Amino acid sequence: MNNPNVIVIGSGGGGAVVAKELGEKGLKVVVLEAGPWYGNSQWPDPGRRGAAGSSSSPKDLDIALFRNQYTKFEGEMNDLITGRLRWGPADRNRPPWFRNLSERGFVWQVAGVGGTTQVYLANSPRAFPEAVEHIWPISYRELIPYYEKVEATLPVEFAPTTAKEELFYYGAKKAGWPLIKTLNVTSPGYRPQPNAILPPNKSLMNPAYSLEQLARMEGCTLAGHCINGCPHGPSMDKVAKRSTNVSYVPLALQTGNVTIRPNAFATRIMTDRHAADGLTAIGVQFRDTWTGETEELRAEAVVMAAGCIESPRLWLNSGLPQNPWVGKGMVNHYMDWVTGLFDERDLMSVLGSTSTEPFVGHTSGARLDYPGLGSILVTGLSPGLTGSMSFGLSQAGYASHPYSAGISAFGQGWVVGAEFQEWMFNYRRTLSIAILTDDDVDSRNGVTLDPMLKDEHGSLPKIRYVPGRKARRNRKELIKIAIDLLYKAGARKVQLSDWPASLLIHIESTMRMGVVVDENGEAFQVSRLYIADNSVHFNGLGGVNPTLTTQALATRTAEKLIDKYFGD
Amino acid sequence: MRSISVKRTASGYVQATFQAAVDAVIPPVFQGSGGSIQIVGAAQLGVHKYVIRQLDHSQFIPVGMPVEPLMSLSMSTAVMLDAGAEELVHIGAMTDPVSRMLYPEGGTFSALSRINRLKAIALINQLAIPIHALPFPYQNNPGLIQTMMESLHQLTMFGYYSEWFGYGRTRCLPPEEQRVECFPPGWRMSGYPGPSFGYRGLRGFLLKYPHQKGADGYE
Ligand SMILES: Cc1cc2nc3c(=O)[nH]c(=O)nc-3n(C[C@H](O)[C@H](O)[C@H](O)COP(=O)(O)OP(=O)(O)OC[C@H]3O[C@@H](n4cnc5c(N)ncnc54)[C@H](O)[C@@H]3O)c2cc1C
Repeated sequence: MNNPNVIVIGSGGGGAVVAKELGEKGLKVVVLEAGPWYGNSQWPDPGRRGAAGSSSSPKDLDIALFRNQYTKFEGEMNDLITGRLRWGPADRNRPPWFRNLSERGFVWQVAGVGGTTQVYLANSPRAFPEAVEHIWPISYRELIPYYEKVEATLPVEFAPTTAKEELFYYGAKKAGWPLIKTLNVTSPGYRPQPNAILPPNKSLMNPAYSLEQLARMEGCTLAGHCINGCPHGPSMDKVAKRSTNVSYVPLALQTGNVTIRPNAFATRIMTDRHAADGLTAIGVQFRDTWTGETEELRAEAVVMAAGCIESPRLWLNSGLPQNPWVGKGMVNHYMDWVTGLFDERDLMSVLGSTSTEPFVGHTSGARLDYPGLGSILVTGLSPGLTGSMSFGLSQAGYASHPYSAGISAFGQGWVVGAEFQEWMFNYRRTLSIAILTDDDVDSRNGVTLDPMLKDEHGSLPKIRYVPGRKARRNRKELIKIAIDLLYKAGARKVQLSDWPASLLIHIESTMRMGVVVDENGEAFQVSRLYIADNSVHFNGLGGVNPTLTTQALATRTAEKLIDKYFGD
Repeated sequence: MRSISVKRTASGYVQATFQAAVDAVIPPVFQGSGGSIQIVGAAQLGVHKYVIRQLDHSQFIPVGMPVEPLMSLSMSTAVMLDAGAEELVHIGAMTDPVSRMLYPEGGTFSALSRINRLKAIALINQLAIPIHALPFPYQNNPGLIQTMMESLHQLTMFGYYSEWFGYGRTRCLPPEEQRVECFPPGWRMSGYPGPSFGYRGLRGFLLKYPHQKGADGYE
C-alpha cells in the first residue's frame, strides 16, 4: 500500500472503474473506501472489528462469504439506518453518517466497496445525445467508444421479459409508443432496459436444475433482488448483477497493481505549490473508521470518486481554492413514482396469469424514453420497500394535488389505514413506474459546508435541491404518460406518490466538467487532482440513469491521466 | 382533560405516543371487497418499537456540541406529535372526543382518535404548528420536521412489511445478531414468498443488445 502512483478515493460507480483502468496500464493504485468490504475473506465479519488493513489479491474474494452477508432480506440489507447497504461505517451499532438537508427528503447512497452500485438497479442507458451534443465540453461522439468499452466490460445486455415487463410493453404499445432499437436515443419510445446484469442462465426453465443450483451458476435467475443486493453466481467476479464490487473490482485486483483499503474515510486532500504546475495534489489524509486514527498517504496523482456529496465536501473541507461551482449545480431527476392496481381477469387476458409478480425478474427491466422530458421505468420492489416508497413518501401529505388537473382520475399522497392495507393485500397485482425527469442545472442547488455542524470527518455537507420550472413541467408530462400507460395496460386504480424533490437517488453535477474540472477530469485549480464520479456530469443527461456515463467518463479520465502524467 | 392516575415514565410516554402513531398508519382493520375485517395492526406487531429504535439509532450527535442533557430523537418526536395534537385542539378541528383509555401513559396525541391523529400529523407536515417552540433538533427546522413525518409513515410500513417481525426473539438485539426466525405476517398478507434463489419466470426477450455498433441510429 506504500508509494502508489495514484490514490483513488471511493470504490463505487466511478472509482472502481478508474482503479481497474489505471492498474491495467501498470500504475500502482491504492483505493481508499470509507465503508466495509463484503465478500472478502480478510474481513469475514465486516460488521465487527477485525484486523486493519487492505486487500490486493483476487484470491481474497469469497463468494460463500458474500452469500452469507448479502442475505436478500430487505430489512437487513436496505434499511437506511441499520442495513448492511447504508451510508455509514461498517459497524452497524453506530449511527449512519448524517447529512443535513434543507428540504424534506433523504440521500440514498451506500458506503462500502461497490458504493451505491451495491443497491443500484444496474440500468445502464447511454445519455440522450441531445443532452450532450453542443452542450457538454465534449461531444456525444467522443463518448461512444468509452460507452462501448464499459458495455462490453460490465457487460450490459437487454433485460429479459418477465410478467411486469410484458404488462409494461403491452400498455406502452396500446398507448401508441414505438419500440426503440438503438442505444443512442433521439426520439420517444419504449424498450427493454439495457442492464448491467448477466443474461439468464440457459437452464433456468429446465426443471432438472433446482433454483438453488442455478443461483450458484453463472447467469441471472430472475430472483428479483437487484435492489436488495444480488449474491447469485459461481464466484465473486461472476455475480449476476454487475455492481462494481463484482465487476470492476475483481478486474482491478487481477491486474496485480491495485490495493483497496476499506474502512478508510478520506478527510483531506494534501497539496503543495510547485513551480511548474502551481497548486498540486500530493496525497490524502484519511481516518480509519474503526480505530479513529488519522493516516497520510502520498502519490503522484489523486482521483476523487467519493460521489456527488462527499467529493465537493472533501474539496471544501480541504480548503482547496474557491470556485463558485464547487458543490453547485446539482441535478437529481426530480423523481416520482406511480403504481397501478390490476384486476385478475384483466391480467389473465394480457399475461395468461393472474399476477404481475413484482418481485420476479430484474428490479427494473423495461423503460420508456422521451428525449426532452426524461424517462419512465417499470419497477418491482420487495414489499417493505413497496409499502414505504409507494404509499409512505409524498410531498403532498394526505392531500390531493393541483397536478390532478387535466390528468385522468388518480389518488395522490400518503395512503394509510384500510386503503393502504388494501393496496398491500393486492401487492401481487400492482405495477409501479419510476419517473426520471430531465431537470435543469441551477447554481443554488447543491452542497455547501454546514457552518455549525461537524462529525468526525469534518464539517457536514448541507444539501439543497429545489426543482426549477423545467423540471416541474417535465415531471408533470411524464406523470401523464406513466398514468396513461398504466390505464392502457388495464389498471383499475392508480396512485401517484408525488415524491419529495430532495429524495436524492440520481445525484449528479456537483463538480461539473467545464467549470470545476476540465474535459479530461482534472481540476482546473489543482493539478494532479482528478474527479471520476457522478459529480463531473455537465447536466442530468436528459433524465436517464447516470452510472454508465460516469463509468465511460472514468475510463476516459484514466486514459487522459496516464497520457498526461505517466506517458513515456 | 380529566386528570389521570397512571404514573408516566419517559419511556412509557414515548412508547404510548409511537404506538398511537403506528396504529393510525396501519390500524387493525382491513377494507376488503366483502366489507371490513380484522387484521393484525402495526401496534399489535410492536412496530412502534422498531420505529423508536431506528429513530434513536439514527440520531446525530454533532462533534464538539454539548450532548448533555440531550433528548432522544424519539422523545423529541413524541413531543412534536403532541404539539401537533395540541394545535388541533387549539384550532377546534378535532372531530372526536379525546380518551386516555387506550394509551394511559401517552400525551395529547395518543388520546386522539385515529383520524384526529392523522390530522395532527397533517398539521405538523404543513408546518402549521409553532415550530419555534419545538425541542431540538426540530426547532425552526422545517425540512427535518417534514422529513420526520415521511419517516413515520415509511418506517411503519417498512417495519410491517419487511422481515422485521420475523426476527422473533432477536428482534430487539443489535443488527449483527438479528436472525429471521419466522415468516412475518406482512409477507403472508402481501403474498410475498420471501427471498428466493430465482424464478422460472422467463417470457423471452424483446431485443438483442447491439454490442459494438458505435453510433448506430445516431446520425
Ligand atoms: C436504489 C438505487 C437505485 C439506483 N439504480 C440505478 C440504476 O439502475 N442505474 C444507474 O445508472 N444508477 C442508479 N442509481 C444511482 C447509482 O447508484 C449512482 O449513479 C452511482 O453509484 C454513482 O457512482 P459514484 O461513483 O458517483 O458514487 P458511489 O457509487 O456512491 O460511490 C462513492 C464511494 O465513495 C465512498 N466514499 C465517499 N466519501 C468517501 C471518503 N471521504 N473517503 C473514502 N471513501 C468515500 C463511498 O463509501 C462510496 O463507496 C441508483 C441509486 C440507488 C440508491
